[in-house]
Amino acid sequence: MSNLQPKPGGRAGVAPLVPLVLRFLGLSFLGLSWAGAAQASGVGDFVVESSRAAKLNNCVEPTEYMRRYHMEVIRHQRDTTVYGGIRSTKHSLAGCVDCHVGYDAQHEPVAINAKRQFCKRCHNYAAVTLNCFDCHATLPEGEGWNQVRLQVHDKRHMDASSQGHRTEHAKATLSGPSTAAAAAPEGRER
Amino acid sequence: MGKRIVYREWLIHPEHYWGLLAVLAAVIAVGGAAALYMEHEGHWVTGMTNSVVWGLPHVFAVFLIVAASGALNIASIGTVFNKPAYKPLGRLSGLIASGLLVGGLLVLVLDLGRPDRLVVAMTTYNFTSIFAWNIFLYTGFLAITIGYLWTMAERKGNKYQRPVGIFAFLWRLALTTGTGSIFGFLVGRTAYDTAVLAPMFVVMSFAYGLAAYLLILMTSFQWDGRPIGPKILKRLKDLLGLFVSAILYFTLVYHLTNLYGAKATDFETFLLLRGGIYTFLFWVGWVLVGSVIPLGIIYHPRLGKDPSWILATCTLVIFGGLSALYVIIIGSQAFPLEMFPGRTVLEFGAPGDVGGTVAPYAPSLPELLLGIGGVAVAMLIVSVGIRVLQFLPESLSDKDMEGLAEAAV
Amino acid sequence: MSQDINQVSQQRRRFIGAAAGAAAGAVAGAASAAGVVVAALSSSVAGNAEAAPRTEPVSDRHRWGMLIDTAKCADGCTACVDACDRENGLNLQSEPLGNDEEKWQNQRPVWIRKVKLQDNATGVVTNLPLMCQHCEHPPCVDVCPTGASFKRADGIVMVDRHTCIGCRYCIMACPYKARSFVHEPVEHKLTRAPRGMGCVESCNLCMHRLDEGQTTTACSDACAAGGHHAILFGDLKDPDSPLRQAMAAQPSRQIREELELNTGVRYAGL
Repeated sequence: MSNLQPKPGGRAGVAPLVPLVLRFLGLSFLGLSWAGAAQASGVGDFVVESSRAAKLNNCVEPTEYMRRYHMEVIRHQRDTTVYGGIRSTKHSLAGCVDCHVGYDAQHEPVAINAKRQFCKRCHNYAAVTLNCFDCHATLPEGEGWNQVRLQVHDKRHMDASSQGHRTEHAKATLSGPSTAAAAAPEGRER
Repeated sequence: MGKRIVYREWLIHPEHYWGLLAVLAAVIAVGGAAALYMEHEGHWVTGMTNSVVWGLPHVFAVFLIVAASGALNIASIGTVFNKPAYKPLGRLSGLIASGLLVGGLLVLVLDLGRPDRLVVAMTTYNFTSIFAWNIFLYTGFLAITIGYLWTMAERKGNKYQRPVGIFAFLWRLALTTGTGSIFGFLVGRTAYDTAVLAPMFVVMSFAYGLAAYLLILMTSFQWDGRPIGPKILKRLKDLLGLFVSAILYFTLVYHLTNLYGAKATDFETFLLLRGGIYTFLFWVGWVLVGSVIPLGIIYHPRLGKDPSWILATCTLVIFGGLSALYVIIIGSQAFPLEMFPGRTVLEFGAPGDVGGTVAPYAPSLPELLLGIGGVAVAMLIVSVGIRVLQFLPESLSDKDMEGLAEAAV
Repeated sequence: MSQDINQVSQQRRRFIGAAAGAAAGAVAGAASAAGVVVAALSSSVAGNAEAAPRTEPVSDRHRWGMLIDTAKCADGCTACVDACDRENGLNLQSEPLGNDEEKWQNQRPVWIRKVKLQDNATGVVTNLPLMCQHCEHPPCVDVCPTGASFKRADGIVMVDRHTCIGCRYCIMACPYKARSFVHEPVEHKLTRAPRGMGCVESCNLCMHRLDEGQTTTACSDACAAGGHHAILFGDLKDPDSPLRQAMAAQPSRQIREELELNTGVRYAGL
C-alpha cells in the first residue's frame, strides 16, 4: 500500500494540484455521505451491473484507495507507458475500460464514457471533467471490437463516398479484421 | 525649469465613448464565437492543413505582438534616449504596448489545438524551444510594461523611470528577436533558415508599432479636440519614414542572401515571380503599398505635413505589415519542402496530398474574425485605459511642447 | 563526431550487455535455489522472451530504425500505407461533413506516404515510402514548447498527447513533412492507437508492437507479405542484427543528409 501513495510531481506540471483536488473530492464525498444515507450508498453503486467489475470484490487496489487515487494511479501508469513503454501492468487505462465497461441487452459493449456508464456517471456526480476519452478508446480490447465496428463504419463510408482511393481503402480494411484481430498482441491484462 | 505636462482622461462625449465600446465588444464577441466554433468543430473548418499549419490567425497574432514591442519604443525614446519631446507620449506608448500584446496573445492561444491545456504550456517547459522562452518574454514584457507605466505615472516611482525604461527597452529587443527566431531557426524550411529574420523583425516592430501608435494618438486627439503641433508630428512621421526605409533595406538583404545561396533560388523565384497571391502581396502589399507609397507621402513637401495624409500613411504601413507577415508566415509554408534535390516529385501520398507542389491555402472567415477580434481587444484596452486613467497629455501643440526643458523628468 | 558517439555508445552497449548477462546468471542461480515454482516461472519467461510484454523501461541499448531498399519498392503498391492505416486506426477517420475533398486530403493525419520521384537528369523513376525518419537530433523535439514531442530512449520520436497543446510548431520544424495535426473530432479509435482532435501525431514505429515484445512494424510486415521486402526494420545498435548486416552490404543514405540529423530511417538506391 505504501508504494502506492500518490507521487506528486510526475511529468505534468499540474500534478501538484491533483492531490489537492482529489483531497477536496474526498472531502466532498465524505460531506455527501453525511448529508444523506441514500447518497452515501450511491457512491459505490456506479459500477455497472453488466460489467465484469460487478462480479469482483475489489478493483486492482482496495476500493477505498481506488476511489480516491485512481487518477494518480492512471497518471503514473500513463507516464510509465508513454516514456517507458511498459503497457502490461494492472494499472493500465485499457484495463479499466476492459473490466468496467457495461454491456447492453445484445451483449454489445457500451462506451464507458457514455451517459450512465461507470466513468461518466461518477465524474458527473463529482462534477469533475473527464477527458481521457478525448483520445483513448472507450471500448474493451480495442482491437477486436473496434475492427468489427470499423467494418460498419467503412461500409457506411463506402456507400456515402464514390471516391476511388477511399473505396480501395475500405476494401482493404474489410478483409482486415480477422487478420488484424489475430495479430493483435495477446495478454494485455494479467 | 520647464513646464509640467498635464495629462487628462479622454473626454469625448459619453455617447461616442459607449458607442465605441459597444462596437468593439461586438467585434470581440464575434471573434470569440469564431474561436469557439473552431475549437468545437476542429481546425478542419479553417483553411489550415498539414502543409500550412499556421494561418491567418498567426499573421494577426504575430503582427500584434511585434507591433506591441514597437509601440513601447516611443516611451523608450523619451526615457532611455532622453528626448524630452517624447516624454508626454510615454504613458500612451506603454498602454498601447500592453493592449496590443494581450490582443495578440489571445489570438495565438485561441488558435491552439488544445487551448484548454494552456496551464500545461504555463507549467511544463522545454527550454531548447524558442516558443517556451517566448512565453516568458511575453508575460515578462507585460509585467515590465505595467511597472514602467507606474514609474511614469506615479511621482514616487519617477526616480526609477530610467532604469526600468532601459530594462524594458532591452527586454523588448529580446522579445522581438525571440519572435523573429521562432521562424529564423527552422532548419528544415528554405525560407526561414536565416538569422537575418530576427533583426528584420526588430525593424518591423519599430515601424508597425509606431504606425499603430500614431494612428491611435491622432485619432484619439482628433475625437477629443486636443491639439497636436506640426513639430511633434513631423518628428514622428520622419521616424516612421526612417523605420519603413529600414524594413526595405532588410527586405533587400534577406532576398539578396537567399539569391546568393544557390539552394534558395527556387524559393526566391517562387516568391518574387511565380507565387501568385504571395508574389502579389510581396510586391503590391509589402513593397508598394506598405513601403514605397508611405515613403512617398512622408517625404512629400506638402502631403507630408497634412495630418490626414499621415493618418493614411499609418494605415498603409499597417496594411503592408499584415501583407509582409502573410508572405513570411504563410508563403514560406506553402512553398514545398525541398527533400529530394535533383528529382521531381511525381506522387506524394494519396492523390491530393501536397508534396512537391505549392500547398493551397485560403483563409476562412472564422480565422479572419478571430484575428480582427484580437485587434478589437487591443483597441478596447486602449479605449478604456485612456478614458478612466490619465494617459493622454492635454496638448501636444508646439507652444506647449516648447517649454519642456532638456532635463525635465 | 557522431562516429565517436556511436563508438562510445556501442562500447557502453557491450558493457551493459555483459552486465545484464551476469545479472541474468545471478538471477537464474537464485531462482534454482529458491525452488521449483520460481524456476519454472523464470524458464517460461526466458522461453518466450521474444514475445513477452515489456516489464523494464525502454533503454538506449536499442535504437530502432529501418533500411528501405528503393529498388525493391514496387510502383503502384500501397501495401505499407494500407497496413499502417489499419494498424494505427488511421482508416477510422472520416471526412467531416461538408469539407472540401481536396482540403481534406491535406488535413487528415498520414503517417506514411508512398512517394514517387523522377530524376531530372536521367528520368529514372524511384518509389519509396516516407515516414517519420526518427532522427537522432530531431528538430521537432527541439522546438516543442512543452516537451510533448520527445525521443524515447530507444530512439523512437513521438508525441505525448497528454502534454501536446496543439501549437503545431513541430510540424513547422519537421524537414520531412512527417507530422500531422488532427483537424477533426475522432469518434472511433483503437486501444493501441489513441487519437484525439487538436494534437499532433506521427509514425511511432509501431511502438505498441515493440512494447509487447514483437520486433516488426505493420509496414515492414505488409511489404514482406507482398513479396517485396523493401522495408527492413531492426536494431541499429546491434551489429549482428539483419538490419546492420544489410546496411553493411550496400550503400545507403539519409534524406536531407545535409541537415546532419542522423536519421533512423535510411534509404538504399536513392
